[in-house]
Amino acid sequence: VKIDLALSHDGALWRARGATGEHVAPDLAALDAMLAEAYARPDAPVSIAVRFDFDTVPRWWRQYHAHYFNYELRLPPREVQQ
Amino acid sequence: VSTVNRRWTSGMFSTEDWWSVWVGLALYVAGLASLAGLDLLTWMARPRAWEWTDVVGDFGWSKLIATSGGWQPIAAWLVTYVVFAALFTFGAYWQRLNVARFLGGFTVLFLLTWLAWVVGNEMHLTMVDAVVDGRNRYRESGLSWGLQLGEGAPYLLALIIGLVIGNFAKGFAAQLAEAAKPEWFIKTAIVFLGVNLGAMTMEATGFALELVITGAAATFVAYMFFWPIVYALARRVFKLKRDASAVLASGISICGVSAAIATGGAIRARPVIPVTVSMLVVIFAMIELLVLPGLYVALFPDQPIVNGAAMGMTVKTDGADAAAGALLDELMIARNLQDTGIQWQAGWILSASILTKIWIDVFIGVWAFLLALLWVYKVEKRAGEVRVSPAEIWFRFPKFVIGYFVAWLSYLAIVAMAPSVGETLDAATAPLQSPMRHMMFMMTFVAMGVMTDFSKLRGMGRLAALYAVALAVVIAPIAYVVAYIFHRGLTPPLAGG
Repeated sequence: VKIDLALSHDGALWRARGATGEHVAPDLAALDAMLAEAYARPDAPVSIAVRFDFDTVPRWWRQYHAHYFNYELRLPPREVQQ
Repeated sequence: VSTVNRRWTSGMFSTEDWWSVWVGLALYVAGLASLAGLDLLTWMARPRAWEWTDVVGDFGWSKLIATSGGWQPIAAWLVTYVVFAALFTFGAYWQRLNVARFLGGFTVLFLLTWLAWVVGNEMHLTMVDAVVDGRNRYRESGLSWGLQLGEGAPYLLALIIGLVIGNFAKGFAAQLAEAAKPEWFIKTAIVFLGVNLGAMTMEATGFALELVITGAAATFVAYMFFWPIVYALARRVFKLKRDASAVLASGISICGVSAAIATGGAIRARPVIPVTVSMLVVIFAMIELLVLPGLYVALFPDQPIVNGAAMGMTVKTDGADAAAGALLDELMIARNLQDTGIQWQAGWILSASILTKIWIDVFIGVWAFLLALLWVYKVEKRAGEVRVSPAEIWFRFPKFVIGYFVAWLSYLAIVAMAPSVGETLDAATAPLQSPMRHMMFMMTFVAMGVMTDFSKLRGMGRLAALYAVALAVVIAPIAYVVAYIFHRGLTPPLAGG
């Protein structure tokens, strides 16, 4: 299962936006945990493509470099509680 | 709407980096049309060396503006404006900039550029008291005094105009901000420089090859020496956090703002860290641009290529490095002409500076990728959970380099395959090689000045102190020693030789 999210930082919080809504956390580790909680499935591994939205950085900055970072969050099938 | 890099084609029509390739190559292709008998670039205007009593006494635009192909000076100047404004505004539209604000800002920058360019060509500022091609134009013009700055004079004037606006007319600077794109302007100029290097390579192939090889060696120095030393200095002496140290080390020691952004991304830092470092880099790059060319000319007037290469390793951001290289090129040539009566060919000192810098730029993607792996596996210890794709290397690759090498190598290939067209091609691309390139450099100087606000250094105490110490104690001395090892004694070919 593949999911696409656009990432941004508003000065205080990381924000990951996708088709199903927005997830917000103070740091990336917490955000990744939140995404795992939201998207992990019992029947299949999930791959979340998190891509930084370069529209959210200051305009003057963009002429120097046109990329911040992308990463893939890999979630194994979630264990089902007995 | 969001802008994310998803495919290898992402950003091809929406980033300044790519648009420097499109604008640069569009004009190069127009130059190539000469091979089919079409002269499409003869409209390019350029300033002429003038003397003020002569112009005041008997004014004529042709005394200030030179043209080719029988163009009337004002008509050529207007066409020059229309072509460049149209190309850049078209690019601005695709980059989703505010087109009206961009065109207005571009027009003002263009006017300021030409003001500085024309005034800066007054003979009391430029003319050197020496014999060139059998003539001493300084004496012929009856000059009783002169600053003898060569073509460096208009560059300095452009920089002063920009800095006055950026620091004393901040409201006006903010209005120009949409169009003040020094990186876009300089990267376009670097594509033009690729054509120029093609023509120069035909005259001195071995020399050009040596610059390429030694430029590659400089990359090793920047990544393997500068970075670890500055990182250690930041951590141990200045007690900065790990993420700030890594971003700052890249900004100071590799290639300025783009390295700071790439490193910030690689270690997944909050954007505020590279943004802060970037502001620092932009201001320090301006200080380096103001200080280093004059310093190198004064201290090492007999080491032109060493000075150029050292500049490429020391000055950060492509705009400041190319601008400093261009200023150094002109000042060194004028100084040598003044001291020895020998005139070096223009462009080689600048090429030494840019080739060194381009090699460093090219590897930033690889460096950031390795750093990202190190961070994920060793620092955050999240192997298997977080994956960083090698596609990141491409997203971080400086695309203007493609335009530079396409222009350079295609020029060489055409002349190698059909030597008889060499002269035609050289003549047809002459507007690109000289006036267009100079104009884009001039616009870069003005735009850099406009967006440099020295008051932003306030409140950056520890970071600014680290930058100053690293630059003075680590980067500048090591860069000079390395450049000296590779280039000592090398001088550019003689003009007209």
